[in-house]
Amino acid sequence: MEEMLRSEDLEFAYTVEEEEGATVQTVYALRGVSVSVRRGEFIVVLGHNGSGKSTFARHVNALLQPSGGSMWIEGMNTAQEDKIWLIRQKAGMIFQNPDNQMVASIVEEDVAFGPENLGMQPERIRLNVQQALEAVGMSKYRKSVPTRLSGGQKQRIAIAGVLAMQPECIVLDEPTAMLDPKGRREVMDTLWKLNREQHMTVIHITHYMEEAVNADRIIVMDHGQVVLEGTPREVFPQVEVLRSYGLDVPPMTELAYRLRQSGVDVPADILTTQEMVSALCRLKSKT
Amino acid sequence: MSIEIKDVTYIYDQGTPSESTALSHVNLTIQKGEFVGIIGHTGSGKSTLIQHLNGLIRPTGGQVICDGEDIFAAPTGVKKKKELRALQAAKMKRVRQKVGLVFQYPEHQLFEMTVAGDIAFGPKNLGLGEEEIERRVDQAMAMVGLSDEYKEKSPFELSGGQKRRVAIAGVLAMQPEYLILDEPTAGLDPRGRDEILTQVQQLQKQQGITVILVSHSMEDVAKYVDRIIAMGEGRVQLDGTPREVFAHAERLKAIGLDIPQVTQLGNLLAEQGFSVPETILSLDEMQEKLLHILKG
Repeated sequence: MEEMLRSEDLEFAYTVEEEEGATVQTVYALRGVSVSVRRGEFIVVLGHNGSGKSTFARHVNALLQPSGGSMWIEGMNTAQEDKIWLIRQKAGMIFQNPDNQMVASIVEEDVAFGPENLGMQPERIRLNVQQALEAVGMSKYRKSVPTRLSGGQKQRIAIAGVLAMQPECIVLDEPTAMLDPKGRREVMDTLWKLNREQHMTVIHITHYMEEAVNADRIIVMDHGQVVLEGTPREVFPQVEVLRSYGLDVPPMTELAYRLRQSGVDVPADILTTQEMVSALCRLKSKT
Repeated sequence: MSIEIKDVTYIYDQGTPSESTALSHVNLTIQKGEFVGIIGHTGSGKSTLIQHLNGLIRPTGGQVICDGEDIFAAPTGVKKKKELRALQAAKMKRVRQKVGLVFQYPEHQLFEMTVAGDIAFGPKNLGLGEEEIERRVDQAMAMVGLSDEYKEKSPFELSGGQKRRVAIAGVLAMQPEYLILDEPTAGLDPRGRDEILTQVQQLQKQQGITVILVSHSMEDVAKYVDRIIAMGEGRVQLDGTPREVFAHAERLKAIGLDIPQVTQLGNLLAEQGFSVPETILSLDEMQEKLLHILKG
């Protein structure tokens, strides 16, 4: 499959001044991160607070510039200043707090903000806004006031705002952290639909392990480095390794791990309740 | 001792075209020493509810009674307006000191140069002496598990979880009897989440502080609280122990909530003929149950 983005030995360092500039300390938020993402992949990035996930995400659409190494989007280096707007159009970004991402007082104007800034033709903007709202299932709210919507709806509007710019890739930095269970489900369903139906490349950062179980690939970060990478079935059975990085595993994988420790023969790579039920039914029929 | 919500109704923008009812005839009593979880989707009325508990908003109808005192009732036997206002203000100060509220993302409200300075802000406003303030800062920091070395640090150098502890310590330094936490773990990683909630549980168990935890995580409330209040459409939809509340999977889904995954597994296994009669709330319970069934 075709490559969407690639980071090569990416490094991000900044200095901290202590006591009026006396001691200067260099902090490495990213150290030698080399990642390649294929078009249409659904990637979940895990890592504890301060592990470097957000810093990595902000490099994808050139919100941050590397202090070493490089980041490439569809063959464009994010360090090329004349390409920045094209890069930001290709890779849209969604943040944690939906309230900070609303700019207009009517939903469709909010969604139109991005394409207007790109200087798209009014006809095309109208069409893009309409299609974007349809894709996130918010068409009937197009004349609504954003502040009156629920958290999940606001995040879907934010996603529509990115979609209206016709990106190739969406990067989401903990988009579900502030949402209730229904809102989280709405946002995750929307992302899956975009990935499956429109072949959208998704890079999703989250602290909810269960949001990662269907991902094509999981990238685990710690201290600014990629420490683990693989499919959910490869990554999550490594319960102790993940714990050492301050992370959890999905509840069903944890249960499988504990049962295996007690000598019950269930697969280690169980991810969902359905899989757990099947495994237990098989065991029970044997006894 | 308790906080009582009696027939409380709250209407936003009353008398305008955007009028909307956030709470509708809510009745609740929270007893001293309880660990209560409040769940409900965004807009279910839970934030409006907790702001009533320490008098931040005044109910459109009904009463809020804190330790026997109606916090919005006008003092009786006083005629002069000025005197009346002074009495009301003193009462409100008393209530807010007694009922501490930690907002969502409280770290956004840190502003002092040092951690100790930030935590001391509330006690200073209470007009306490230097020594007492210092004692309270030390105590509050110990309560949230921040060691002494953080005292002179800038709050802005700390990690997300640590900043949040500083913010919670700031409220604890007021020595509240009731502590309300509005999603204290939002945005924290799993370890930070468990650390904060374990710490809060200790405050309730060891110090006897009444804790009211607003949460979007069904797993967290199942694990930590003794009683769950599920809000929906401005009303109390369910009120009981986690086991009682999470037995109502359909009802919870209908109001935009859910049950923990392990509870769901228990229900699915019961359908498949496994002997899981009761509602399962934790992996520990499930593990024990399954080992019993499979290994006898």
